[in-house]
Amino acid sequence: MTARLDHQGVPVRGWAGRFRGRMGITKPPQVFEGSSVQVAGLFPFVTGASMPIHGAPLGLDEMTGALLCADPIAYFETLHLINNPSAFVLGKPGLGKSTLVRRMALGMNARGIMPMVLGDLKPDYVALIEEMGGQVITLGPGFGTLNVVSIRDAQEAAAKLAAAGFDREARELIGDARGRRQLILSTLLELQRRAPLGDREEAILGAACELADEDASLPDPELADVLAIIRARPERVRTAALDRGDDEVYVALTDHLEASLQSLATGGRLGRIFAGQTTTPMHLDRPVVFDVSATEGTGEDVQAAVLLAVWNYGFGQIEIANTLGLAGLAPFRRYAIILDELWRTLRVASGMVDRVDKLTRLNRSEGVGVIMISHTMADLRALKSEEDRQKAAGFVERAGMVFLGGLPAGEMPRLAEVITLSGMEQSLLVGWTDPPQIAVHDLSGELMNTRPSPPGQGKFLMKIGGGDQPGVAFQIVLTDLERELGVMNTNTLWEGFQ
Amino acid sequence: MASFADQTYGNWRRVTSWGLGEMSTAATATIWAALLVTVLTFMTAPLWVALIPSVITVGLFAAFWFRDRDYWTLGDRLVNWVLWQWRKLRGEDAYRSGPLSHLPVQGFHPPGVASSLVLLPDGADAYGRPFALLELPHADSYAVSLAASPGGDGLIDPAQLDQWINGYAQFLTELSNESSITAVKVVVDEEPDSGALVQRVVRDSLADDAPEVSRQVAMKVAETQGGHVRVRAYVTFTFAATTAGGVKRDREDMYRDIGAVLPELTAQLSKVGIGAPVPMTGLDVCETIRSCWDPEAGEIIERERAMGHRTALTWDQVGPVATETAWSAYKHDSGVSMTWFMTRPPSGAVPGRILKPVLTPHAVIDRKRVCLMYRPLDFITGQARVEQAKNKVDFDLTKTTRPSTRKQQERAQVEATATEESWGASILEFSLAVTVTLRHEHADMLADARAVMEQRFGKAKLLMRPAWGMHDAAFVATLPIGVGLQSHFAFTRFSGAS
Repeated sequence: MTARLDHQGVPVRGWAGRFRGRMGITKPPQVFEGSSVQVAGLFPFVTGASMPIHGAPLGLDEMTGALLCADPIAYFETLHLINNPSAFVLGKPGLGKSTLVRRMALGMNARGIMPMVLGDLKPDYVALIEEMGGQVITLGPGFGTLNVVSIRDAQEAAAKLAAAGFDREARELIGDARGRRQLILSTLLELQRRAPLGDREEAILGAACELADEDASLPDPELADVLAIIRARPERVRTAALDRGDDEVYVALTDHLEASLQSLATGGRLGRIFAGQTTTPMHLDRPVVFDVSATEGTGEDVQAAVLLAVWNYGFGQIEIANTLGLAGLAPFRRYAIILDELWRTLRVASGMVDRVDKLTRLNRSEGVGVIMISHTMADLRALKSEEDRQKAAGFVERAGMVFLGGLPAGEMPRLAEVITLSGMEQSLLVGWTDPPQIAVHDLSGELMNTRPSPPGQGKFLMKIGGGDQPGVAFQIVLTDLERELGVMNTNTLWEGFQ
Repeated sequence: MASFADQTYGNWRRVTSWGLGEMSTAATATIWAALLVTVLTFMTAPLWVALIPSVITVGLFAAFWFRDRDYWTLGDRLVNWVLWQWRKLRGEDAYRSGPLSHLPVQGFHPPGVASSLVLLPDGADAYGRPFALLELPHADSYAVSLAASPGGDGLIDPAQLDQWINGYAQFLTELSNESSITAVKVVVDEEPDSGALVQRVVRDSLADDAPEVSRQVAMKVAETQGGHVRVRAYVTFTFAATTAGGVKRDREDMYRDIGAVLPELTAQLSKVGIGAPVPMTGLDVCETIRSCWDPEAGEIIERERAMGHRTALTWDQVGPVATETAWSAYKHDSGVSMTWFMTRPPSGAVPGRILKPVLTPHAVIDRKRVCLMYRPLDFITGQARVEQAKNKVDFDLTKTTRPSTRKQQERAQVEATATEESWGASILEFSLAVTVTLRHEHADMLADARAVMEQRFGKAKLLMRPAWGMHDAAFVATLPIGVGLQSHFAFTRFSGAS
C-alpha cells in the first residue's frame, strides 16, 4: 500500500520510519447493516453520570455509587440547575429528614454559609449549632421575649444606606420592615382573638406603629407603647380610624383592638413572649438556632404564633444584613434558612398560607437559600379551604429542589400533581416506608437479630426543577465523626443506625 | 410490578463482499488466479512440477474458506501477523514526538492515522454557538462533534426508554436525508473516579474561617463515601466536502453549510435522553483528545474544569509524547489501552438495554470508550442493498428443498428489514468498538480488565475480538474525531468483512 499524501504532505497513516508511529490497519472493523429502527436498539445512552461535585456532600448515589453533593445555594448559584435557591424536604416521620438537613447544614457551613434555624421544635439542631459555635436563642413560656413592633434595626440600616447614597434601597428596606411588622402583628392578633382583623383596625394599627417609629423618646417601641399611643388618641390615628371627631365612635372602633393588644402585651392566651424587648438579639455573623421546644406543651396556635414571630424576625434581620452586604456597607455573608415543621403554621388558621408565603419571602435573595421541611402532602389536607390547599401545594411546586423520603402509596396522586414522578420512582418511595423487621428476642430477653431499623431510613430521592428529569436516589450513612459528636441523634431508635 | 414494554430489536446482517461461498472478493480472485496457474502448469509442465501450484492452491483454499467464530479466516490471521512483524521490523510500532522526535513537524502531534488532521478555527452555527471543524484531508471530509451528558436510565420507566430509543431511531433515519454526512460516530466516554477528584474539589471548596467541625464532617463524608462517575457522550459527524451532486466545497462553504445543519441535529439528539448536546469548540476537542491520550493530564484538566478554569491547549499539543504498540496492548504516555472490535452483534431479538453491561463502569477500568460507528446509506443505495439481500437469501433457499431453520429465519429477517425500509426507515451500516484505558500504575491489572470486559461482552450477547496488532489504530478509531478506519484500507471494498 503506497502512502497517499494529502496537500499538506502528511501521509495518511502517519510518517514512515523508526519511531514515527505509522499505523497499520490490517483489518478494518467488521461492518453490519440493519434498518435504522433496529439499529437504534443498540442504544448507547443507558448509563448516567453522577451529579457534578458542587454543594454539601450528602450521601451515596444508589444508582452509580458516586457521592451526591447538593444544596440549594450551590445548585442555584454555581450550577444553575434550579431557578431559585430553595429546597423542600418531604417524608414520613422517623426516616431521617432532620439528619438530611443537618448534614446539608454542615456541608454548607464548611463553605462559609451560616445555617439559620428559625424555630427548632424538637430540638433537632441545637446541639449542632452549638457545636458550630453558633448562637442559641431560647423562646418559650417563661423563657425570653421577642419584640415584634420595633423596626430600629431597619431604621439604622436605612440611615447607613442613605448616607452612602443608596436611597432607593433605604426606602425599600423601611417599607419592607413596616410591611412585615404589619403582617406579623395582624397575624398575631388574629390568632389571639381567633377572628380576622377589620380593615379599620388594621389602619389604626398601622398609624399607631408609624407614630411609635417616629417618636424619638421610644428607641425600641414595644406592644405596650403601641397600646398607649392608641389610647392617647392622636390625630393621625383618629384619621385612620375615620371617627370623624367623635370620641365615642373612636372608642367603639378601637375597643376590640385594644382588648386584643392588651392581652397580647400583658400575657393572654398566647403568653408573654411578645410582651417586651427582645431578650437575645440575633447575631448575623454566626449560625443561629431559635430553640422553641418549650412551646411543645402549649396549644397549637401558641406554637404557630411563636414560629411565625421567629420567622418574621429572622427573615427581617437577614434581609437587612443582605441589603447592607450587597451595598458593600457590611461584610457579605451567605445564609441558609431552615424552616422546620412548616405544616404546623399552615393549618392553624385559614388564610395562613398567604401570610407564611409573604413572611418567608426576601426581596434580595442573593446568597440566601431556604430549606423547608414538612411531613407529607397529607398534612395539607387539614387545611380547611381548597384554595389554601392549592396554595400550600404551591410551596412544593415552587421549590427549586425537592427531597422526598419514604412516603405512603396514598400520597402519590397528590404528589404527582406537583412533581413529575415516574412509576419506578413512586415504587421506590413507597418501598422506603416498609416497616423494620421485628426485633427477635430469645428466652432470656437478649436481642437476637441486629437492631432493627426501617429499610428506608436515610434514603431520599432528589428531584430538581419540577421533576422532568429522573431523580437521584441516595442514602445517608453517618460517619464516625458525626456519631461521636452525638449531634445527629433525633431519638434513641437511631443508636443502632449504621 | 409494572409490565415492561416488550420492545425488542434485531435483524442485523453482516456486510460481506461478493464472492464464492463466504469468501471475500479478493480471496475469490486469488483462488481463481491460483487455479488458473495450476491448470496452466498442468498443461505445460511435467506432473511433479504441477503439484507445487496445486498444493499452493489447496493451501490457499483452506486458508480462505474456513471461518472461525469471529468470522476470521486463517489467511486473515496470517496476513495480520505478518504485517505486524513487518511493522516491528521497521520500528514503526513506536512513536516519539516533541523536541527529541525524528518527525518533520514540531510539537506533539497525534500519531498515525490522526496525524494528518487539521483543527480549524471555531465557527458559529445558526444559533451563534461556536463549533470547531476538523479537516480530514485524505478523506476530503470535515468532522464536527457534539458533547452531552447522558442522564442515564436509573429511575426512568421502560416506556420512557422506548421513547428515547424511538427518538434515536428517528435521528438515525434522518441522517440519510443529509446527503453529505458520510459517517456518524457516537462515543460514550466514562471515567469512574475512586474519590481523589471528589476529595480535591470538596477540599478546595472549604472556607478557611468555617468552624472545624463542619470542615471535618464534610471532608469525612467525601473521603469515605463514594467516588464520582463522569460520563460524556460525543457525537461526531463527518461531512464530505463534495456534495452528492458533485459540487466541491471549500472551507468557507463547509462552515456555512455545517453551521446551518447543526441546530437541527442538536434538536433531534435532544430527544434521546442525553439532555441538549452542545457543539464542541476547538478547546473542548483539544482537552478531550489530550485527556484520552494522557490520563494524568486528563485528571488535571478535569479538576481544573470542576473549579471552573480552562486550559489553553492547541492541536499541536494533544498528541502523546511517546507510545509503544504491542501485539496485545497500546502504551501511550501515562496510560495503556486495549481495544475490541465487534465481530457479531447480538443474535435474535434483544431489548433496548442490551448494551448496559458494556456501559456500566467498573472499579478496575480507569477509562472506557464505547464507540458506535454508523454509515448512513442514502435511500437509493439502501433500497438496493435490501433487494440484494433478499435476492441472495432467496437464491440460497432455492438451492435446497429442505432449507434449514436458520436460512428460513434469515429470510424472515430480510423480509422484516425490507418492510421497515418501505415504511420509511433507512438502512445503516454500523460497527462497534470498545477501548479500555488503564493508568500505567495499574498496568498489571490489564488481564483483570480484559476478563471483566469479556464477561460483560458475553452478558451483552456481543462477540468482540481484540484488535491484535493494531491497537494503536483502533485507539484512534474510538476517539471522537471522525477518523474511520474503512477508508484507510485499500481493499476494503473487495475484502469487505474478511
